[in-house]
Parts: sequence; structure tokens; C-alpha cells
Amino acid sequence: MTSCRRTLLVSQSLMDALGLNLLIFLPLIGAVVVWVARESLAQRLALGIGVVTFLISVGLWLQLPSVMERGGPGALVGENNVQWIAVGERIVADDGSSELLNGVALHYHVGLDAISMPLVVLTGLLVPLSVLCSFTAIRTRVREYYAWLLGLTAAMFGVFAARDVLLFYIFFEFTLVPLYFLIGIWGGPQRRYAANKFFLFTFVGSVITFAGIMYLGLRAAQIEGVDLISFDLARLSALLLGPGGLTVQEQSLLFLAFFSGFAIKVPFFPLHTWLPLAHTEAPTAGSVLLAGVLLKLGTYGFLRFSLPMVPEGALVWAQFMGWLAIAGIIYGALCCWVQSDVKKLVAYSSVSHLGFCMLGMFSLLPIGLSGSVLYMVNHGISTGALFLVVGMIYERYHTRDLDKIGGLAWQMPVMAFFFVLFVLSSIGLPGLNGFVSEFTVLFAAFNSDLLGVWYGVLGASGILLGAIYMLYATGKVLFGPVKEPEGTPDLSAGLTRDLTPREVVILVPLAIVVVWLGVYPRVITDTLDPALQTQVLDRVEDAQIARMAREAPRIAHHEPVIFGIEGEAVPGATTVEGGAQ
Amino acid sequence: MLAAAETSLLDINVYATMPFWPLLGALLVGLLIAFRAKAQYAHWPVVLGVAATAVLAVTLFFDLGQKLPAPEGDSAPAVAHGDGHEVDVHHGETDAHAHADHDYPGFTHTLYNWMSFGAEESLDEHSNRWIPINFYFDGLTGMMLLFVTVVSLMVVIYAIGYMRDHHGHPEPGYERFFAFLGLFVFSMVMLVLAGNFVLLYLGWELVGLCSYLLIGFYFRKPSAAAAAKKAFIVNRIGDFGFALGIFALYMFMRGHVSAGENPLDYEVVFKYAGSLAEPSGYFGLSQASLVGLLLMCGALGKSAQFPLYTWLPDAMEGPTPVSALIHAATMVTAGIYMVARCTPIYELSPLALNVILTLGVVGAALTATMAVAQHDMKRILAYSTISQLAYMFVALGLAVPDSGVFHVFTHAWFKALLFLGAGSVMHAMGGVIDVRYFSGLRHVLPKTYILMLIGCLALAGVPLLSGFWSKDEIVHAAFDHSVLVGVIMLATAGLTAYYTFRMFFLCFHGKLRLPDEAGENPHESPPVMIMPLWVLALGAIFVGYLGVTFAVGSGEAFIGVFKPHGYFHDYLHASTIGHPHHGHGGMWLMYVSGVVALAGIGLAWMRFGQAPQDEPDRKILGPVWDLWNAKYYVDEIYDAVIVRPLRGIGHFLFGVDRFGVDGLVWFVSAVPRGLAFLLHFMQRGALQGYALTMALGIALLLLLWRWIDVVPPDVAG
Repeated sequence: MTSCRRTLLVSQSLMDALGLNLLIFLPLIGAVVVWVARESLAQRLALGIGVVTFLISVGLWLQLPSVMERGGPGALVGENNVQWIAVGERIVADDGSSELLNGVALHYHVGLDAISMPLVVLTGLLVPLSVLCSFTAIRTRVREYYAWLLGLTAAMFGVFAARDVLLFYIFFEFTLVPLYFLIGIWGGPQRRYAANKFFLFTFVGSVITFAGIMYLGLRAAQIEGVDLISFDLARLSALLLGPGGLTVQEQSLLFLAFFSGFAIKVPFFPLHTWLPLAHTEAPTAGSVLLAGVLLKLGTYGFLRFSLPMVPEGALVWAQFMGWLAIAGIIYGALCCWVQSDVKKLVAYSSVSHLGFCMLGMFSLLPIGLSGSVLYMVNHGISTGALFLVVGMIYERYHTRDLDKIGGLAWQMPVMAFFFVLFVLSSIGLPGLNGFVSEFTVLFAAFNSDLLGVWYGVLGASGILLGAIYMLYATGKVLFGPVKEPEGTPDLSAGLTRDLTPREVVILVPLAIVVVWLGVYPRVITDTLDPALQTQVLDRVEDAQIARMAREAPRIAHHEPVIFGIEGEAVPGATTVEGGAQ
Repeated sequence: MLAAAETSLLDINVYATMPFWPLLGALLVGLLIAFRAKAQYAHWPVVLGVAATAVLAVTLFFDLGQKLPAPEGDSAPAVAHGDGHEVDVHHGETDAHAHADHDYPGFTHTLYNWMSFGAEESLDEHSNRWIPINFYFDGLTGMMLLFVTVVSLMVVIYAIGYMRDHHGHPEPGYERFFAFLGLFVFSMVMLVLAGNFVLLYLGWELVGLCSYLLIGFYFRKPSAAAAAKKAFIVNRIGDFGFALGIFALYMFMRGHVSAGENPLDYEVVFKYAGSLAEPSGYFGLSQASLVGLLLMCGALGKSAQFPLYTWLPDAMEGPTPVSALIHAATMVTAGIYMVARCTPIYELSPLALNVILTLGVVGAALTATMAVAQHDMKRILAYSTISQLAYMFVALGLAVPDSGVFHVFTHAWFKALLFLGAGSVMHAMGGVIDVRYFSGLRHVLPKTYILMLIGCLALAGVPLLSGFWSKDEIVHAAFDHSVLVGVIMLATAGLTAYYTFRMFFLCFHGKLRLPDEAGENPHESPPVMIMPLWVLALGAIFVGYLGVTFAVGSGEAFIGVFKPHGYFHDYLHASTIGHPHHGHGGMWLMYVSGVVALAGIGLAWMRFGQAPQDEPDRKILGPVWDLWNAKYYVDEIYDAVIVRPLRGIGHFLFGVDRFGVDGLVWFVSAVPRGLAFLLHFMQRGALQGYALTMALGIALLLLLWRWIDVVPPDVAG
């Protein structure tokens, strides 16, 4: 029986590995097929591939609890580890297998854990929807469009699945190209400028990140006393801290190197200026994926790399990050309020929202990290959905100017329902998904020993400002007397005055998720929390201990500080809190 | 410690379904809308859902009533529950330590764990802490649910008739209206039942949402859309403080709770509330003061207290049943409920109580004067609501929360009655509600006339109606505190009687005048609207007797029969309110307040009994009247001092964003700019541009790689 069971498990994990590879390569193959296929097939083919990847991602997600039960909180679903590129001397054993002695090795190592899984499922959900929303919006160079969209999909799945830092970096950069074309070809009037700006901002930043990764790989070999340089995530996340390991100076600098790539992607104030432009000019599907998934590459990068790899660097910069996050929250919100372009408004709201996400992350508390990951998912859903709705309005009225449209709730009641629902999700109405993450994130910042009360207070002003600008937009678009530009609504290509069934089908899944995650967020957090603990928080605690050990001789009355939410249970915690202000 | 989750009449799990029936109804109506069913019968799911909740609430009221401790004044301290623990009878002590380990009679029923505080394996495997979905049952819960659900049911039934045109056809949006009402009742019951602060916040925000949706029901009217937005945002200002209060509460609590206890559950917070007497380390406040003041901010918004009351008069843009239910009887009392619920925290903080008292006194007097100089019937009632809510706040500030809740309770009935009566007038007048355009309506609306008279008498505080008993308790407590507060409260009571009957006489007395909108033959409302009014009218007359004891022949009784404090207070004492200290002020005060109410009515009769067309007050008061009419220009001041500057900052920042930040980044990135310039030429053909970009990127990467190789890292660190 046991062996039978084991066989089943083995075959199950093989299936998972196959599934994960399909997730990455099916869209890639699909992209090629769509490009060469007949124009009339492109839409349906792309949609089919999108749906299949979604089902695969859900299938993998369903495996997660049982895999974690067997393999612990860090277990990977669909793990796959193949040496890809290797340069160096080999030793050949008797049975013919060889092992690399020195040099550089790049592994195709993929696998999903509880941290990346929610983002993969989010991607899986948003891709078919953004294909579906392009049916009427994209009318030129259709095959190319869907090919790039599918290429982007492959890169997005790859980036979350990568367990090798170099592989991550390859996928990370690979996301730029398809989006560059999606914006540059199918975008609005300023699309060229927007695409270039987007590309250069993110590219230049990530080059510095790349340098940091190289350095860390070299340094890892040095610390471990081996000649083999590899970039395995687990390996680089477990480097020795303290004497003989990574120094604080190194970690601080490496943190900055990572920062330059990830912060631009987030986008973190004041490096956000590419975003409103890119969003405004991008086609709807581009905006949805950009806001929904691609911005998360930045936050995910911080969580996955900056925190566990250079935890002391993270501790050094945590307050700086906190202040920037708060500046972003308030700045983004105030900018939103004065926009007249509704798409730009939603774009600026991303700046504000991702400030919340980063604030929670750099509280470095369990609840903050958990809230931060939830925030990534929730922002992807609600902002993605808002972009979808705005796109549907734009298709009919050919304007996004808040002063030219109004009272649409009367014309489009179904649209109004979804618009209001997603706005409410976005401003953190309890019972919907946004609340859970917003509340926990602010909660964490407020109660963090590292950030502290004032970070929480200033961050919480975002919940007020968020309501102001979102309801301002809602009032302008939906309420008041009906206002429509001349000659609209444009009902070509089978559009109707209110949403068509196809458009309702796009929005309904998102609406369901909005409510579901608001009522039962544990569908994510139950597996996420232990994974965060072992993969990130334990590492941060090690850094805390290393820091204490370093400072211990200098402090006359040394009191142990345990880092965590239990602050008051431990003597000395108050001093840390005091110091944090 | 705490009583087991047991109820005798129905299973606890049945009570726990209470909030969900109206939600179910609302969802069914939503389905009807989605499938474009006929609107004619769309009210049924919601009416039945609310009715189910009301039945459960009444049952629960009696169920919890069986567990009451013996009335106050008995020699032995009351026994709270079967587990033998005694309720600590204390008389207004402010000594923190007396309350340190207080047990509050009530029990929590958990549905499921909602939000996690994150894994805390590093500390203790079992220390996983949750924010659950749980309900707290005690006397306060039972009392609140009783009137919330019954008044809701009456309003929902009334709306069946009200939301139709003269031919009995449903108005556009009829189904939507009932869906929102169902959602509201769900939210309000959640708010009252919530067993922890985050769930309270959930109910709090959801009722705010319903308020937003229903104020903006006639969303094509710009004023309605603006009022809805204003209501939500002003409430959010308060909620900002409220949320911070919850954060702070957790911060202070987390060190005290033991494993398995969720630090934001009422049960746990109130158990360890004694620890909040310690200093907080911020602004020199104690923990209780800090938490109390922050939580109070939420109440300022939701219960329309000074200075955040400005949204409530505008909220009258909503349909009248909404004004009656949400903006008079139930939702706006949530702030009072919350402060009363948190009595164990507030009794540790004299400072917070004083702030509450001051804001209450200012608000009560200020808005009563505004009400004197308004023309719109619903706005008069709205200002009167603010004034009455401020009365309740005064009671909270005077540390007699049971009197405050008593006034909440009585106020719900007669204010709902008044609003629905005003709605009946509006219905007959074709939507006109300005008292300058009609008079003498007692001839055409005889039933409404009687019903409104009952409501006005109760609001004015005429003896023997329910408003009298509750208002008098607050005036009593005010005089116990200081003569100044007492006199202001009494004067406000007089003003209340005056403006209420000014409205009443202008509307119903004098010569019959009708606006054009009323049509040829204005008629009384249909029975579906009048019947609920009779129920509310009975409430307006009789519910006050729950709060008095019959003591025939006693020297300490009003007109020799009624002694203050009755079943209501005993019922509430089995809650977190505990046993507040009531002074034993002289019985003369009751006679005085009765006389003041009658004097106010008399004055109103003298000046408005014939429904004069010119404003007689304006001639006497002149600019003061104009100031009252303009509501002291508070809205204009807020706009000039807060809204415009903030938006100006927004414009400034956006300008900075476009030119400053962007320019700076652009300037710093001189190299990429060059690249962009190159790309600009290479972008004519997509593929070539791509190839070049990639080539450049790879070259750059190789360079960097090389550079790293050349410069090995410093091993010494």
C-alpha cells in the first residue's frame, strides 16, 4: 500500500512538474502558433490558451496544501531542476554522470511555493480576461497582438516560478519586450513616447539589479568556500550573516542595487513617473496586465530577494522604505484627485496602493508581510477590473475625460454596478478583498517595532484620501445628468449601450473573487503565512540577531530583543520602539 | 469567567443567522434585477428577510431578558449567570483598579476565523491569533437589535407604498431601493452583533456604504450625488480616527492577552480593560484616553456630532424612508452604541468623557438654533436629529450611557415616525417639502396630522410620552454635573419643542394652501404606509414606560406614579455598560422640564399657530436669524479652510509630478535619454528596434559582468 501510495505521489509530482512547464511554454508555443495562424483564429486560439493556463494554475494551486503538508512550509509544487548553462571543469563519475566542479552554472529551476502561487493564479485569471476584453478593442494587426500577449503571459508565469535568480532575471527582462510592443503599437496617441519611457526606466533600473545579482553570486561562492558560482534562490537566501558572512555595508549596497530595479517596477515614489503615461497610452489589456501582474514583479522582487538575501540591508533601509511608501501613498492619492483623465486617475491610484503594499512589507512583521502579499493579489484584481471597466467605457465614448462624460449609471446600469463594486474594493470597504490587505498592512505598520505608530497614522490617511479621489471619479462618471460626447456611444463591432454578455463574463469572475477574498482571505493566507515565516521572516530574525550580536559589545546593558508582534512580552522591546521613532 | 453560549428559547446558531436573512433578500432582489423580472413584487424578498430578522430579534430580546441580574438596589450584588460569578456593582468609580478584572456578562459566538495575524510559530505554536467573525450577545445587543429590526421592518413596509407614483406603479429603481435596504439591515445588524472591533468596523463601513448608495438614490440629481459623496467622505474622516483607535487598542492589548485569546474581541478587551489606565507614551495621555478619543472620532462622523455633522442635513436628498431609517433611527445611533459598548474603556478616561460632553453640549445647542431657521421639513427634522444625537452624546459624556441608550431607543420610534409622516406629506404634496409652500394640511391629511402630532409631542418632550422620560434623564444627569450644562440642556429642550411645533403648525394649521405639484386632489397615503406609522406611533407613546417604574403613591415619583429607571435600565446593566451612577436629583426637575416643553409649544403656537407667511422670528432676530438660516456658514468655512487647500496641494503635486519629479529623473537619466534618442530612429520597424535594444542590453550586461569579475569583492568586510 505504501509503495503504491508513493508511486501515486511521485506520479502526482510529475504531473505537477509537467503542468508548471506547460504553464510557461504553452503560451510561448501559442504565441508562435497565433502569429502564423489565420487571422480569424487568433482570438479564439489565444482565449483557449488563456483558459487552459488558468485551469492549470488552479490545478497546481489545489495541490499546494497537500504538498505543503508533506514537504513543509517551503515545499514547491511542480518543482523542476535542470542544469541549463554550465561553464567550468567537470568531474565524471563511473556511471557516466558528471558534476560541475567550478565555474558558473545556470539552472532551469522552477517551482511554486505558497508565496508565488497566489500571484500565478492571479496571472492565470487575468490573462484570459484580458484576451477576452481585446476582442472588440483591437482591430488592427490582430495576430501579432495576441502573439505578444501570449509571450507576455509566458514571461509572467516564468518570473513567478523561477527558483534561480538568474532565471528570474531573464524572465523579468523578458516581460519588457512584449509589453513594449503592446504599448508601442496598439496604444494611444503618445504610444511611442510612453513605450520608450516605460522600457528605459525599467530596463536601466534592472541593469543595476543585475549587477547586484552577479555580485551576490560571486560572493556566495566566496563565503561558502567553493569555486562553483550558481544563483539558486535557496542558496543565496541562506548566506551566512555576521562575521565571515555578508557584511552590513555589502548588504546595504546590494539592497540599493535590488532597489533600483524593483522600485522602478513597483513603482515606488519618486520613480513612478513612467507609470501614468504607460497606463494611459496602453491598450486595455496592457493596462490590466501591467497593473495586475507586472507591477507585482517589483514588490515580489523585494519580498523574494531583498528581504531574505540581504536582510540586514533591509533592516538598515526599512525606515527609508517606510517613508517613501508613505510619501507615495499620499502623493499618489493627491495626484489622483486632480486628474481629469479617468485612466490616469486609476494609474496614479496604483502608485498610492503599492505604497500600502510596501509599507506593510517593510514593517517586517508576519501580519505585514502576509497583508502585503494579499495586497498584491487584491490590487491586481481591483485595479485590473477598474481598467477593464474604464476600457469598456472608452470603447463606447472614445474619451476618458471626466468632464466630457457623466451620468452613465443611467445609460449603463450593469456597468455602473461593476464600477461601484470595484471602486469599493479599491477603497478598502470591509467585506471586500481590499479591506483585508489594507487593514492588515496599516495594522502592521502601526504596530511594527521597526516603523511604528506614525507610519501607521500617515499611511492610514490613505484610506481617507482613497475614498475622496475614487468617489470623486465615481461621481463624475456615473452620477449627475447624462453627458455624452457628440456622436457617441459608438456601437460598432457588436457593442451595445450597456455591457454585452461577453463583457459581463469578463467582469463576473473578478467580482466573485473580490467578494470571496474579502469574506474568506484564508484561502490564501492559510498556506501563505507559514511559507512567509520560514522563507522570509526567519531570515529577518536571523539578521536581527546578527545585528544584536554585533552591537552587543558596544551596549553596556544588553537586553535581548525578540523581533515580532509580541513586542511587549519581551523586555527591551520598548527601547527598540522608542528608537524607531 | 464568561457565560457559556447558551440561549433557552432558540438555539444560538439560529440567532446567529439573524443578519443574513435581509442579505439573502437583497441578493434575491439582485437576481431579479439581473434577470430583468418585473419590479412590482421586488419588495417581498426583503420584507420577508427583515421580518425574519425582526422575529429573531424580539425572541432574542426576551431570551436575554431571562438572564437579567436582579434589579439594582437589592441588598446582595446581582448574580450574573449560572456560573456563579458576581457582577461588580460600582457607583461611578473612576479608580481604574476597581475594574481591572471585571467580568462583563455576555457571551461570544464564533462563526469562523476571518483574518489572520500571521503565523507566529517562532513564539508559541498555539499563539495564532485571529480576527474572527463572531457575535457578542448581552443586554445592549438585545436592546439595540429590538428597535433596529422592528423599526427597519416598519420602514421597509412603508417604502412599498412610498416608492410608487400616484398610480401605484413602482418608481424607476424600485428593486434597487429594496436591495439596498436589505443590505442596510444586514449591515446594521452586523454592526450591533459584532463581537470584535474589526467586525464592528465592518458593519460600520457597510452601513456607511448603504447610506452612500441610498442618499445617492436619485443619482441624476447633482445635489443627491454630491450629498452621497459628502456623507461617505465625512464619515471616512471619522473612520480614519476609528481605525487608528483599533490599531492603538491592539498595541496596548497585545502584551496582556494570553494564548488562545484574540486581542480585539470585546470579551478579551473588556477583560483586560483595566490595564488601559497606564500612560500611553503619546501626548501625555493615558492609554484609555488615547484609544477613547480615537474611537470617538468614528462616532463623531457616524453619529453626526459637532464638528463632523455637516453631512447629515445634506443626506436628506435620499428618499424619505431612508432618512427615517438610516439618518434618524438606526445608523446614526451607531456612534452612540459604540461608545456605550466601550464603557469599560471610557470610564477609565475622564478626559475622553469631558471631550464627549463638551462636543455634545456644543452640538446640541448649535444645531437646535439652526433648526429654528430652516424651511425644509426634512432638514428641520435632520437638524433636530443632530441635536438629539448630541443629547445622547452628552449622556455618554456624563458617564450615564444607559440614559444615552434609552434616548437612542425612544428617539428611534418617534423620529422614524416624524420622518415617515413628513414623507406622507411629501407624497401628498407631489414632492414639495418646503413649509413655505403649503399650510393647513390637517384638512386633507387627517391621519397624518394625528400621527405627526404624536411624533412632535414625543420629540418636544411632553410629559408621559416616551421622549420625555429619556430626555429628562439626561437633563437630570446634566444638572448633577453642573448647573451650566443643565441649563443649556434645558434651554435646548425648550428650543426643540419650539422648532418642532413651528414646523408642525406651519404645515398643518392655518388656511389650507397647496402647491401646484400636489395636483387637484391631494389624498391621504395608502394603508401600507399608514399602518407602519401607527406601530411607530404606539412606540412613540409607550416605549418610554420600559424605562420607568410604577411606584404609585411614592414621594419620589413623577405625578405620584412614575419613578425613573425601570426594566430598560436593569436590562442594560447586564451588558458592558454595567451600573452607571445616577444622581438622585430632585423630582422638581421633571416638572420643570415638562413645563419647559409645554412653554416651547405654547410659544410656537403664539407665533405660528395661524401659519403666517412671513417669518415672524426673522423680524425680531434679524441677522442672527440669517446666520442660523445659513447654518453659521460651517459648510463654507470647511470648504475654504480644508477642501480647497487640499485640492490645491493636489494640483501642485501633480504639477511637480509632471515637471519637477519627472524632469529630475529625466535629467539624471541622461544616458538613457541618449538611448531613447537612438531608439527613436530605430523604432520605425518594430523588429529591428527590438534587436537593437536587446543587443545594447546584452552588451551592457556583459560589460557589467566583466567589471565585477575584474574587481573582486572585499573579503575583509
